[in-house]
Amino acid sequence: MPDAGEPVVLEMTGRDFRWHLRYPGPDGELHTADDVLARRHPHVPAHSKVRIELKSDDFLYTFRVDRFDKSEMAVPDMEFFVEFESSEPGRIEFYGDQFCGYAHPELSGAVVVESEREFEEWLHKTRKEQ
Amino acid sequence: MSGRLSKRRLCVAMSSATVWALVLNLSCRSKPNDPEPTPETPATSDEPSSAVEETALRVFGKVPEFELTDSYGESVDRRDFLGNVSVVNFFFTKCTATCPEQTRRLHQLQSKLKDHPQWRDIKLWSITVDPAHDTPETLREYAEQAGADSEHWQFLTGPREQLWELSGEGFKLAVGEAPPEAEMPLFHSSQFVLVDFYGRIRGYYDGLTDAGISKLEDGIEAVLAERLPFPDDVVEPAWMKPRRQEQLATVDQFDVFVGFTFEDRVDASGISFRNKIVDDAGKLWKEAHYDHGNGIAIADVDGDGLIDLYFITQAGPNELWRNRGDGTFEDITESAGVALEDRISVTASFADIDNDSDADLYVTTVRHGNVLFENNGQGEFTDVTERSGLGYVGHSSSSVFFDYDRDGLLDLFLTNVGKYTSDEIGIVTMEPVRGERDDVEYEFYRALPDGFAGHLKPEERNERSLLYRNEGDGVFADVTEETGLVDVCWSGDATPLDANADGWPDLYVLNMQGHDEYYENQEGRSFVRRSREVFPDTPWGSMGVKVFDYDNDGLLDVYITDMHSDMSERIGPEREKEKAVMRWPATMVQTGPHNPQPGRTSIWGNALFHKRASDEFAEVSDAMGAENYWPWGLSVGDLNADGYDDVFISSSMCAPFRYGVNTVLLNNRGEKLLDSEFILGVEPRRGGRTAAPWFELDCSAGADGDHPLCEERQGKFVVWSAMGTKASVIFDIEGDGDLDVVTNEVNGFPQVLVSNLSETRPELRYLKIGLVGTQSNRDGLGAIVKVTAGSNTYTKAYDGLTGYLSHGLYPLYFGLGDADVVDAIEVQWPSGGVQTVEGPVETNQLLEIEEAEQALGS
Repeated sequence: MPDAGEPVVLEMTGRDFRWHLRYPGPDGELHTADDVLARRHPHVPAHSKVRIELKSDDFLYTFRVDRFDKSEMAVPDMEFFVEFESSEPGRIEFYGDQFCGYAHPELSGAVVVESEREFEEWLHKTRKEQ
Repeated sequence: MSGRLSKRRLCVAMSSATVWALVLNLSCRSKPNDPEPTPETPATSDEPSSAVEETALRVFGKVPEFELTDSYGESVDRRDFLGNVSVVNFFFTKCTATCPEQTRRLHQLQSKLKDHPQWRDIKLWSITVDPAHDTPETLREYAEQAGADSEHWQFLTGPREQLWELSGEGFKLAVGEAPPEAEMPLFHSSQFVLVDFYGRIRGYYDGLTDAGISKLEDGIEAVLAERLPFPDDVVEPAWMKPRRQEQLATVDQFDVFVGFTFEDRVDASGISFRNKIVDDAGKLWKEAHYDHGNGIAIADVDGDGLIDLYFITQAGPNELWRNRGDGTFEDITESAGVALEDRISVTASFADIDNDSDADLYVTTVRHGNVLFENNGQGEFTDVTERSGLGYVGHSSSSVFFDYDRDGLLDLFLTNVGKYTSDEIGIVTMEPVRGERDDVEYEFYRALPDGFAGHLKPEERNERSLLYRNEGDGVFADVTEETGLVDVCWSGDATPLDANADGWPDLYVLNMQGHDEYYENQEGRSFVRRSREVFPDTPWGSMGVKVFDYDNDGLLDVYITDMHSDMSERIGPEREKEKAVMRWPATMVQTGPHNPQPGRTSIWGNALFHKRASDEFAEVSDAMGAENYWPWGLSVGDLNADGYDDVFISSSMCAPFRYGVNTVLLNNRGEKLLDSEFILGVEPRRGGRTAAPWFELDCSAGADGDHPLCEERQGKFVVWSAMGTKASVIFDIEGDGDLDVVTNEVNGFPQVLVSNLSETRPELRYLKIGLVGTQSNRDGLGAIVKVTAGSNTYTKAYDGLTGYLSHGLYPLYFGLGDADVVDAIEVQWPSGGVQTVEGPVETNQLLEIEEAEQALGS
């Protein structure tokens, strides 16, 4: 992986068949009062090292990014992660579990890759709205 | 402290553990089956791990306890996963979404794996999430259509709540009712789950893609390769099948009924107890007495007329299981208050110490203090140790309750082995690797490296057994010195035996490292050692004993099993019926003050002392076929109800030794004891198993890298050991008139061997007799009962000894052959009275006989 500085770290937690996102706030730390919370589609800055930490509060969920040929799972009481390098702005599709009988569409989505400025704006806006 | 040995200390231990070293060296030299190093298992909590490590096999947790039903209606629980590598999926038969594809791919997997050399150890489990429709019958039909090999691919159902909980909470795989717009009414995961030999979840794989299945196949190979059999051939010993065939071919030698079998019904019994051992008996095995294991005690603890089971374990709680009468049991340990989780227990005895008509309980431990519990009659127990004076702290083994002074109160002979532990505290690590209890730490005193040689240092290591007189009021007095019953042999058990037939119970004391001792009771005042006069030669390594009349001549014989003599050399399967060749030097075996004259040796194996007259016995073990391999103790009962008592010898040592079969000897009309464990279905064990996962070995530096088995090995392994039964007990579990067997297995689950004799021999005739003492102790322990039916008289001693280290209370069981009626019963009560019950007495009943007033002095 090319050196792109410190990775952008975010946490994706599966709960009730949805992905719950958590970014560190201004203090740069996860799980503090200024965390930024979002749902489903993670935003990341372009040309950055990205580290997504996967957790689950209830069941096992899978997280598959075909573009990078990466697959990982979120499991209760365990922590796994995926890392990749975001490139140009755009959307990187990811897929969740293919449950038999009902697909739970909110488990799939896209990583939204945007410019640094757009990403910061999105973070700021999201924090204000929560 | 870690409980692990340092390298230096381990070497010291090993240098004295000659047998371990012998087996180990052989194992290390011939390593054709060394598994490949396994992939590293990444940390799962402190540091998140990455999918980059594609080959890594994680540990996701354990499969939880569950109880479901397979498509044949048989009970299946977590134990069925242990020892197998399993692939699990969830589905339902009406599902038309991905389920058909899942099933198709599992069938493909089955077809591919059926030629795998370890196919025997691979199981597929498809678990329905729609039990309302998926009954066992539906599943069986589905399985047949799917082409499932029923030996390897099982379909499970059960209550929906349990199934969904197993999926959601156990395997973390979501299941639920789908929204109206969904394809199917239910949704569930299509992941395939990989479970290892220890019942741990090791991987989740996409069950619908080639890539997922390919990774699953790699995962299966990886967990299969984690098995390290020790010794090499312990998983599938080549001699088992020919041995079985040879025995089956002997059926025409039996003059007695052999048309019945036993089936291990532990799953259906509901019993989930598991014996757990300290490391010094397993992972860090030493030649010390921890590997002598635990007993099993029986009695009706709650007065409902049914025999209940108390299982003893070294680590963790002992468990009391209440008999429901239908072949199932319930765990009442907590309400009974008899877990003793903080102690390393050895065994236990039930006896009514206060004659209040309930079974009290005495439990022995290794230096954690023995405990006396008083029963309130409802199966609830109170610790009365302090008042009783029975809280001895030492290396105790069996507790023999008998009324030596015939005052109507049961006294106690407590056997103590000898000092085989140091003051160093160890922590049990054997258990958590199985994922069962990692939230507790069980402490034990580490065994001395030369624990087994303790008898060579009598001044330092001997520990006398103790005789306690019951003073009444729950108080016991140590009368060891007063009665002259000062015995320092390395004893694990003893039995009352009235060899001179004077009505006063004498005592035969087993010595596991030297000659046995025999003490003659001087009318309740004292004991006189008459060992070599009455029993000139005895086994050297006596572990088990039972007094019974094997040839129905009215005289009580003595059968003794010798374990230690089988330890001095490597005895192959072909030599099991022969006495051992003692390889240890005379300095090891010709010891102690009461051994034979120079030039005479011990018996290097089992003994069967046939009583000829008062104080006169003839040793007939070889003529009768009483020898076997690596015995612990014996349970005696008339398994085919023909009037001749048969024998079940609990056997096998476990790592580092080879598997030994449990020996069943059917009594061929008192003329020969015939090997019948294969004929009767006791061997091979359920699933053909001879070995089981024993402990996990991490051959990386800082972990178990110094362990001898890690020599020339890297990676993590699951070491497999021979299975072994320590204690057994014979009684009629479900009240169908035939005798069943329950075992206490080393580091494993019990066997509940249920007999089908009552079905295959409907004309079965028997009589059960329960005694109610009035002048004697309440249960009549110590009585001799003679039952006459036609021209046959059957004689039994009611001494409470039910198997290896095991003492309890139970009705006597008399098989009656073809006799339709019993003509007379004679009871020689321990009080001295003799009472006769005139017939005709109906057969096939439990007859209670209360000690009559006039019995006194007759």
